[in-house]
This record gives sequence, structure tokens and C-alpha cells, in this order.
Amino acid sequence: MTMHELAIAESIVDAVCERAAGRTVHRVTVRIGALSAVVPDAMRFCFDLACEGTAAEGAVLDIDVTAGPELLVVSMEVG
Amino acid sequence: MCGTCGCGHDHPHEEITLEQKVLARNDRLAEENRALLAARGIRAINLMSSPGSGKTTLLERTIVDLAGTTVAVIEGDQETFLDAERIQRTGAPVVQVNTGAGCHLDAAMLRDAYERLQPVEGSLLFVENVGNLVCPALFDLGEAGKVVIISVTEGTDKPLKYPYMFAAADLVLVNKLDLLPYVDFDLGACRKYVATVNPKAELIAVSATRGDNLSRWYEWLS
Ligand SMILES: Nc1nc2c(ncn2[C@@H]2O[C@H](COP(=O)(O)OP(=O)(O)OP(=O)(O)O)[C@@H](O)[C@H]2O)c(=O)[nH]1
Ligand SMILES: [Mg+2]
Repeated sequence: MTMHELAIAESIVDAVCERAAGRTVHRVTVRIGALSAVVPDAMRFCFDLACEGTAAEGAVLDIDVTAGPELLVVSMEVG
Repeated sequence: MCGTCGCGHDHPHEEITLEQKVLARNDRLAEENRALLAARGIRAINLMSSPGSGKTTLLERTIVDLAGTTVAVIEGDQETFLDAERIQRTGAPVVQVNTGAGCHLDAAMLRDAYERLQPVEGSLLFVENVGNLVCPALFDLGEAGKVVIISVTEGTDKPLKYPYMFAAADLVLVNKLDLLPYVDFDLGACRKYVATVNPKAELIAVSATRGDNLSRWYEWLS
């Protein structure tokens, strides 16, 4: 595992929890470009770790893999 | 009970669209740093390379050679104060940032180091990033320029193997030119590979120890 996926997963969890404003996050969709230097499998692993103890604990991560350099939080499901 | 995931709630889930950059917060902090540095006339140069390519050696030499310029340094390493101690011996103000498990500097760390260092107005601020050719490229610090260093002992193919890093560079320095006779490194091919991933990057082959082409590096800096 490389460490930058963890730093990036933490950024994702921070962003969704902030926007969820206290509600529980059930699902998060991200877009990861092949040129973004982020490895989807490493990201899945790190996402679960980063979610522990937050409003996104147990959330499902959907990864939409594209060809470009983008690294985006696309949407989430809260409830 | 929620029908989609069994979460125990009786209200439906709400879908929220974000469409935001994952590193939006870092990018925001980096822009703040950029504005702060510009307001104080400080030019920050982010030096990135794999461990041991010669970042600190180049800085030691640069500080001595640019004696008329006010230089300050932020040193990033996972552990130790060794590089800061080396810079300190040149007389330049320096602070060390230890990232622990982290493999890169980010905009918040830069800001924190900047506040500790308090570089004088108009200085040239070098930031030596953690030795790593992958993730430092992802994290904007608010610097004015990104310099990637590879050394001839690392192999010609590095620009192709670490395209993100080379794509982010404003300048590529190929260091340890003095060792070229002893290693199998093709400078022409390396130049071509850099151009493939980043047509805009300049490339200068130097030796931080013997001094080859350092005047071109100093020209680039000014
Ligand atoms: N022959 C030769 N050796 C060099 C040159 N530049 C650096 N070195 C040597 O390479 C080794 C590593 O140099 P450093 O300056 O510590 O490299 P660094 O990139 O700062 O290393 P980290 O901070 O650990 O990532 C040292 O033994 C230097 O003396 C050069 O131009 N030629
Ligand atoms: Mg060093």
C-alpha cells in the first residue's frame, strides 16, 4: 500500500462528512482518472480505514474509472 | 427500515451531487499560500525527486553560489533533522518538517513551516519535498515553480515510469552528470521521454558536486 491513497481517502471522507452535516453517509461515488496516480484498489482499502469512526463508517465506495487526470468526489447518498 | 441498505432509518436516502475535486481543500490552502507569498515578494520553489538524487547537495551549493540572494529553506523528510542541519551550516535560515508516515508535503504543512521560518520579504524560498517520485506531484503547496530532479544513476526510463511527477514539472534537472561515464544513462533519450510526458518542461543536466551547468540553473531561478 502506498500512503498517498490514505491521505486522499481522508480528504474524501472529510469532504463528504462536512457536506453531510451530521447525517449518515451510506454511499460515496468518486471519479478516478487513470492519470491521477491513484490506484483504485488501494483507494478502496484506504477508504474503509479513513471512514472508521466518522459519519461515513461502513459507507460503500463506488469508483468510476476514467482516462484523464481527474480526481473528483462525484456524489453521495445520505440518510 | 431503509429499503436500500437496511440502515434502520425509515426515511429515504437523499442523493447529493458534489462534483468537487478531492483535493479541493489542499488546493484552496495552496492558493492562500500563493497569495501570501506573492504579497511578500517571496518566490517558492518546490524541489522533488526520489531519495538521494541530490536535492540537499544542490541547495547547499546554490546557497553558497548565490551569496547575494536572500535564500530560506523548508526541509521535508519523514524523519530526522539531518538535512536542516546541512542547510544550517551554510548559514541560510531553515526549518525542518517531519511528515512521519506521510510521504509528501501538503499546503497546510507548508503554511505551518512558513510561519515558523518567517522568511524575509523578497527571499527565494526553497522547499525540499520528501524524497518520492509519486505523491508530492498531487499536492499543490502554493509554490511558484516545481523542479523535478533525477540523477543519472536512476535510469533513463524514469520520466515514463513516473509520468505524473514529470508532467507537473516546470523544470527537470538531471543531476550527477559527473557520473555519466560510469553508468548506462542516455541523456538524449531521457530528454525525449521528458518531452513526451511534458512538452513544456525545460531540462538542464547538472552536477551539484562538480558544478556543471549550474549557471543555467541560476539563470532559470532568476
Ligand atoms: N557524484 C555526485 N554525487 C552527488 C551529486 N549530487 C549529490 N550527490 C551525492 O548523492 C548523495 C545523496 O545526496 P543528497 O543531496 O543527500 O540527496 P537528497 O535528494 O537530498 O536525498 P533525500 O533528502 O534523502 O531524499 C550524497 O552522497 C551526495 O554527495 C552529484 O552531482 N554528483
Ligand atoms: Mg535531502
